[in-house]
Amino acid sequence: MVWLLARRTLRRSLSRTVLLVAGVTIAGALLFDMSMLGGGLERSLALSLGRLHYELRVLPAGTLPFATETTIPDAGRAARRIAAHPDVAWAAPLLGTTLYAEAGGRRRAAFAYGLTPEIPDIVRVEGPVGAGVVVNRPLAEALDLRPGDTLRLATRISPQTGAPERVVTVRVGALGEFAFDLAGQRTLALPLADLQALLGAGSGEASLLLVKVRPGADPERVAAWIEDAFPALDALSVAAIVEQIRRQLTYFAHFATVLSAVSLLVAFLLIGAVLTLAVGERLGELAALRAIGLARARLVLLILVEGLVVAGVSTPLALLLGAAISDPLDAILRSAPGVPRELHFFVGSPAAVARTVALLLLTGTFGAAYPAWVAGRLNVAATLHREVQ
Amino acid sequence: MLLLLLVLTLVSAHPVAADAAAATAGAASTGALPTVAVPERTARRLGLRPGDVIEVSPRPFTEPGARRRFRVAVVWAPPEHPADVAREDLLLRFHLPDLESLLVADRMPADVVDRVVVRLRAPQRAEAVARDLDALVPGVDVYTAEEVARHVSRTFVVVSRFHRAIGAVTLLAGAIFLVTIMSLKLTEMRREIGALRLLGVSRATIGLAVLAIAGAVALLGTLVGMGVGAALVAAINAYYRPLFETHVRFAVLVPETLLAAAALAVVLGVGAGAAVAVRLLRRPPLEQVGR
Repeated sequence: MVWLLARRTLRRSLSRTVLLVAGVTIAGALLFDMSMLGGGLERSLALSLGRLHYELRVLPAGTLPFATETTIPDAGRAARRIAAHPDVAWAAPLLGTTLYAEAGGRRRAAFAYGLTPEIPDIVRVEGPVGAGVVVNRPLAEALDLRPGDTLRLATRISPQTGAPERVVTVRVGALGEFAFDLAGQRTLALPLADLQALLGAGSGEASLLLVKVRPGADPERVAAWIEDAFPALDALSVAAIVEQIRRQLTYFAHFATVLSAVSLLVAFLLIGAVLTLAVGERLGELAALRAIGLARARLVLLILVEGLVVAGVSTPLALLLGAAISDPLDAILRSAPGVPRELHFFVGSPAAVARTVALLLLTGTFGAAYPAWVAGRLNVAATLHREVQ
Repeated sequence: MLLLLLVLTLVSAHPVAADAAAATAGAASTGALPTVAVPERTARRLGLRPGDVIEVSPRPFTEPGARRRFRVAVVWAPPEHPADVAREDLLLRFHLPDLESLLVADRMPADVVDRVVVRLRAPQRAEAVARDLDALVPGVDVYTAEEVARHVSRTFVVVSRFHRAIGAVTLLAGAIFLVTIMSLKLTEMRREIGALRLLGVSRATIGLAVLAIAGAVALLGTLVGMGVGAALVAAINAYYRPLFETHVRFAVLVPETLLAAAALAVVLGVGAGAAVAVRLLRRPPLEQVGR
């Protein structure tokens, strides 16, 4: 009966109910978006790193991958020693640096990876693979390159003559797509030994070592062993990398928390204010219900259910609207410089949906608490007397 | 025409900065040591004071490599760029020849810099000079200060755009809130409005009164909102400035924001009041008083 009365009451003032649901829907959509934003980039980063199928990145202590020019000296030997650990499937050095690529009279700076055959997934090759370097589409378009073409790579340009220095000519083996490329970033990959030779890093320097742990082994235990064995290196698991950048992402986490609180406050005030005024208009009716035998507790429940129904009707709409709004908001943030193409700021998850649903339903119920209290304290005789007058 | 400034170089993204974390205070003689300037945040992390001696190396201290002792000449609060606030890089500022000799001793090429800063006698000619230098010096790109500022501000332009988008959504929620409350408030007044009309007060007068009430409610809400906003701005700065050990202000309340918020709230409030007033005044007065 309480459900029936609540539904009828809300239907009776349809325009008011529509406005109320619209307001709660928008506040709920914002809440859903903020649930997706808070930790969204971290989840997206963890997913992307997890897809690369190696568990540990070994770096010069205190750095993050490619955040500085610091390199690991004698990286090949370190990789072999790490690979000898019984829990390690393989360990491979990786070198990254900026080179100048020149073809057809055009010259562009490009990020170059020096890779070994063990390292999978950093580059996905399109079409047949020939011998030579792999270039990504922006670099291929900038220099009009196709598989089989040749290009010149240089480590620096002479400021006096403008001529490239330390030049090597290579053939384009294939076009490929690189993990963690920024929008428009020009990238190429060549064998590690070739890049080391080009840079004069003959002693086997590398930017980082990638370590694949055997199935069932604990990556954190291997990381602790590596840091013990190589005090100048940090061994970072996916979780550790995410943790390292979490502080830099504090802004988004806090922004999401503040806006979640604001959206909940708006929904709470809206439901509270509208139901309070509505109860004020219906005092006579509520007194009559009490007079014909509706228990005080059920009257309180009736108002609480009205709040819950408003929140319940608004929730699916809020989720739909939130999902629709999140795409353009994500696109805005992803247009910031330095954001890899596969990373997203707004990442939907069952937890975000559950959090939004739970918070909205709770807010609807709590928002109705004050009007329910007013209804519960109703003096039946005095109210009916006033109404008759 | 040009004054070449090559006095100091920033090393925030340089191996030296990374290794500075491992720099150790030394007890060696401080006599003729080269000096280094240390920003407050770095000094706090490393526990440094003016006069202290630190050992700096481009490589981890566990490895052989060039290392040199420097005396901390000054601990100072450099102007900070908001983009660097969340980064935890430590920063040391050397005289260029000192840093260069340290790096050259570690097998790095001599006479190499990351950038050259140029001060012009006639700053208004910056673009023309940049074009000349671009043509004159092969292998480098030349940017004016405005271009650099535009480039490093791109992140903040994006964040501002994001804030505006979120602001539009919250504004929509706020507008619906306002319309709903105004509608309820004026509906509550329908009996008084009906009575006034029965007494002969014209629709125009009642309409104006309703608009005045709507405007006053909106204005009052705006004032309260401004107070809450100012308190939030203070709370945000009080929380984030110590968190990131910075003097950068994270939230700023400017008169333009206050004016825009007030104008928007009053327009929305009066608009909502007008919509409700039109609906109320269409009804016959007897119906409004409940007869």
